[in-house]
Amino acid sequence: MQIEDETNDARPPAYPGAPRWVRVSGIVGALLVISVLVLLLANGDLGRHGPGRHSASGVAGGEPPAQPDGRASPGSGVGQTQLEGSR
Amino acid sequence: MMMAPGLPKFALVAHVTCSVGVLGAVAGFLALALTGLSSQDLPLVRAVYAAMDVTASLVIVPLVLAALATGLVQSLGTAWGLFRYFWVLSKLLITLVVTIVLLLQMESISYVAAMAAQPGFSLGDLVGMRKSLAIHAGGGLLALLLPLVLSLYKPAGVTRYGWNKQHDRRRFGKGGTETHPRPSR
Repeated sequence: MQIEDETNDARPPAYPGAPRWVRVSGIVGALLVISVLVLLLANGDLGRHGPGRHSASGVAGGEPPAQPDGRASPGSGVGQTQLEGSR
Repeated sequence: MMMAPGLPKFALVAHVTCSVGVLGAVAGFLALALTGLSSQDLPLVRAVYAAMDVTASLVIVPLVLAALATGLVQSLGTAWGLFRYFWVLSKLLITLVVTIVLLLQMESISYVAAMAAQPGFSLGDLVGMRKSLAIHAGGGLLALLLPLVLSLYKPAGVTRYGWNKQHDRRRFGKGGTETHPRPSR
């Protein structure tokens, strides 16, 4: 009987699983991530961060990518336009 | 790995200071971003974006990194661990996501500040980017509230790893932990 008790004690009890708040938060988080990805894909912004994302060459934004001295904005890789206000 | 006596309290103070500090700094950043979008006063708008750049690079980024580092020290040095409880794991994931998004935004923040300082800048310029900064600040503020709520409520729930660890401790007589311990945190 003693041996049987020790054997039972050595076996870990079954894992009860994640609580409801974790499952709900996981679903909400996953939906948020999917929504953001869909929005980024729809705007053609996926993989582009920083000022270049808003450059004139981008699908969305139409923002001036270049600095007034003609330098391209960081991350844009393109653009020689001036600030709208200085045109 | 447990911390020496007295150290957990110090680590806790450092972690709470950084976490709450970054929350306040992001709230201030959001206020500046909204002012930059809504104000018709050009000199004020220029000053706002310069202030946002300084706040982000000298306050928000260091505080977020410090909150992440002190959180890691705090969790690894106490009975909570890093992967044992869902609320601790959730805090880590949220802070990591916030840090990554913030670092990705830094280039835009500096760019808008540099552009706003140019003589040719007008109130109608870079509206998309300026809106994006405000939206990211608002989202960041909401995201940073979650770890605060999790820290205070500490909702129950152990991971499979935490479950096995608890059982191992009981089995091998290492003091044994409760299902939901209450160390200082």
